[in-house]
Amino acid sequence: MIVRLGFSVALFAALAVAQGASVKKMRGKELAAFTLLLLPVLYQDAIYVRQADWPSLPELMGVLLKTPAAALDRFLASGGNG
Amino acid sequence: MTGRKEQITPGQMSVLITATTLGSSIVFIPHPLAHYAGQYAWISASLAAVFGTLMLAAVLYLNRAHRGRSIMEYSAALFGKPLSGLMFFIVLLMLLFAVSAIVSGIGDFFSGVMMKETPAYIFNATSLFAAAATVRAGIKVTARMFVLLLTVMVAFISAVLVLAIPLYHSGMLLPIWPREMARPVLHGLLLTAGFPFGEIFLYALLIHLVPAAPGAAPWRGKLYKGYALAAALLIMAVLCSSMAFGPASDVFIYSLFKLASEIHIGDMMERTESIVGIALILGSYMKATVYLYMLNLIVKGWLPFKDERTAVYPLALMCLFLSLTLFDSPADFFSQVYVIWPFAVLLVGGTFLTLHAGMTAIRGTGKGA
Amino acid sequence: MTQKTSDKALSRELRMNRAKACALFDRCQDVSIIPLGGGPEGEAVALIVYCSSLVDEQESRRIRLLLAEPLLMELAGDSPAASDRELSLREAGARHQAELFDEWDAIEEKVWQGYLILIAEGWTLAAGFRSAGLTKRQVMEPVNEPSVQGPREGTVETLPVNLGMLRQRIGTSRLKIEYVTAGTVLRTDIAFAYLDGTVDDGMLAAFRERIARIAPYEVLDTSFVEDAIQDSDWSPFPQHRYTERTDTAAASLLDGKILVLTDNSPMILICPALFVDFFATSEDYYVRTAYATMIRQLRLLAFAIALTLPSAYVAMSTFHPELIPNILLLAILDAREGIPFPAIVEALIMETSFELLREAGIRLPRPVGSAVSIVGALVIGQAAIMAKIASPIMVIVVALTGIASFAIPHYEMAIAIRLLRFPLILAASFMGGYGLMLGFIFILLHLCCLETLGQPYLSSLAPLKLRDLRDVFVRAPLKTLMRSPRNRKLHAGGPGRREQR
Repeated sequence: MIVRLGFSVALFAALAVAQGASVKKMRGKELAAFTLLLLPVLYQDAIYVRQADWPSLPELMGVLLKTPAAALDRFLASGGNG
Repeated sequence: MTGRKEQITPGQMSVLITATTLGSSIVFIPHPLAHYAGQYAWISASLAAVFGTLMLAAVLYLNRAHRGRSIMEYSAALFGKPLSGLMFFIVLLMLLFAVSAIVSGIGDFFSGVMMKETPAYIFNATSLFAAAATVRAGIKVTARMFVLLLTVMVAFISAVLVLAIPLYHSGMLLPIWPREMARPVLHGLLLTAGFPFGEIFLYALLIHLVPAAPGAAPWRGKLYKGYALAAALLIMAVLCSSMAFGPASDVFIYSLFKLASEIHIGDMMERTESIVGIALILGSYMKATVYLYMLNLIVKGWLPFKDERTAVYPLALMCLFLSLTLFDSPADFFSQVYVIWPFAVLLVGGTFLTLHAGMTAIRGTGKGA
Repeated sequence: MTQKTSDKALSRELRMNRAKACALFDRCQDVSIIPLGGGPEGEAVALIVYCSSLVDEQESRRIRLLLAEPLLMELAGDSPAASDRELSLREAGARHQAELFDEWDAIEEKVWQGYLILIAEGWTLAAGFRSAGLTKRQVMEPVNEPSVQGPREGTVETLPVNLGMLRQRIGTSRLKIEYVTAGTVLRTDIAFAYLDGTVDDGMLAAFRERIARIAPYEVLDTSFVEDAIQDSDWSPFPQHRYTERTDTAAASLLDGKILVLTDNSPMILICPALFVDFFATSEDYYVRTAYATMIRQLRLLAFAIALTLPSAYVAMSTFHPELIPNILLLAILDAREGIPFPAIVEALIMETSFELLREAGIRLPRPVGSAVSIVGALVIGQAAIMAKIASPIMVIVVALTGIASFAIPHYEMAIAIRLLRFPLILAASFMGGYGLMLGFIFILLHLCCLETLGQPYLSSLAPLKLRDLRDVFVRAPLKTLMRSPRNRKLHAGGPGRREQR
């Protein structure tokens, strides 16, 4: 947990160093867009740091695709050596 | 909007195609393919390559029909903003998954095989940083650089495949006992048609970067050639690992790596597996870079950034955290990358291209703009 | 001239001019201000001003003699009309073209250029005779770029001499030479030369725009110009290249490069230099093709060794011992037995002491320098192993690296490699082969991003131009090279240089 937190802090610090100056110059819509972009990143970071089981991309893909994909996989695998 | 200043030559575009098609898959794909299709792996791969060619043809048809315009421009014109936005959102999610999976592939390989004491997040973070820095340098620089890297990679892989000739037994290609052929082949086809061959549909996003000068020399053949080279090498790798290990080739997760470590020619030519490690890094790095570029392309089309490169680092961070949380276990990796991902590529990619090509055919080229 | 007796103009009275000259050259004791007598009452009628440390004494004496006779005779008489006097002066100094000045500023400048200035009574013009005769270095074989075959002519510190040697080689009006002056105190002459019609116009425009930036700086050496015009200040890679050989300079002109020459510096700057240029020397074209090709490849090998050998050793011995063949691994382990440091510390110690020795050796007087190398060889080679500070393998690695870096013909590129070696060693020690690969990727990315005067730095490798590679990895026969794309513009009606991508 501490390691993960430290790692994330270091990464965001690096982002601040790399883009802080240009973000400071942003106004209005552009700044809002950048914040909007950072929101999912922070969310994903929270999942990583807390090792939480919150819904994310794999879950989204799972909901949409897992059932048909797995069914197809099972059907095809039953004939092979697997 | 975008893509006006940044242009690459057809040759460079074909290098990008070769690089992403070979990419990480040359190291990863023989294992699941052997698992699915056994000795018929190479048949599956060849059929899938043909399918990929169809995809590429569709991409090129779209490019020809909408000369010089990016897909985000003409898609909005064809379908209206909401629908096209939804489609690109799905593609965006797929790209996020792809970059994360590629990067975590590097991390897993190194923390699992070559450097067991270093934690995976170091590899993920550094390789994503390299990819992001490359994307920020622009597609022109990227393409120039990949010409060199791809040359190295192709040379290395070919060298391993050639040096391993003493290990091949063509008898391994024969079925051991009579059994059903259609379903394993179909299974393998489904896998490889999605990953890596079907992924060529993503090039619909990039293809407008090749300048559309009217009357220019025909260049689309170059892309087919690049793609064919990648496909041939991939099929060769699959074939070679089948011939070397036979039914056992689904035991070794990194069969090319295993193949290289088996090479002993005299006292000098041994321990060549590091070459495969290099090829894996190069391939994964190149593929991650191109996909990250595509991601940025979509995002910068949506968000009003003055500097086109603003979104690159945040996107890379997103992919990094995803890559660290995506897969709970190797089994999870297998199910997501080798079961769900190919299916997603076939479904989304197929639908995406079919819709665009169909709509273009119906509505005509430039009328809707 | 009475209407404006400002400080700058010369006075009609010699007395005033003499006072002015004395004030101007106050405490410049190497400036001689000599009155010439001969007037009706024995008073001075003319004044000679020159800087004795710049003027060749014999030459000045001869000029004075030549002038004295007719001039003084004439001056002793009635003052003739100004136009007559000018004519007679010109005749008097027929062998030494006289130039006329009417301002002290101009006089001061010319004195410092080694002119002998003559100021006469009742005349508001001064005549200047060029008689600079400072002993300069002779044209000799360049120290830094010796060659076995080919011309042995090297540049000197005098700009006109260098330009003359260039002109001698390229006797065509297509060779354009333009001057720029830099600085307010030094007022250094900077010349740039290019072959019209061969040089890329866009590149030339970019170059002109940049060379204009040099004007406010005091330029002591050509390297100041390089600093002012280069694209990336912090890149370890040199983006322009130096030569002291006139044949190299001429060849670069034919290749469409721009040369920069600075007065008081023997270095010719070749702009722009691409990465691959640093692995070629002029001698490559004077020896047989097969040999030249082998040498080229040897140099590329040297580049690879100099850049990667220590880091590869660190990565292999720390992280991937399984990649080293067994027998070699055993030998390494045996050699490393009893050494208290990890490979990275060992490598850093040895590399640093090697760099120290090299730096010490360069600056020392030659007799002492050899002592340093003896001590260095003993300390590094023998004692360090005996004291178990370094393993023999590491000594071999460092020595091979050092030799390889000497095999790169251009010093600037060797420096770049020296700089990059240390971060690579660190990357290898933290992340093994992966770190090394990452390091290479970043170096390559940097090289691909780098542009010099609008040309991609890694050009003919990236963007890849296969046809141009026949002068990179190999040195194709000259018959082929002369027909190569890079020479095509020289041939009338040729399709011209290929578009840079």
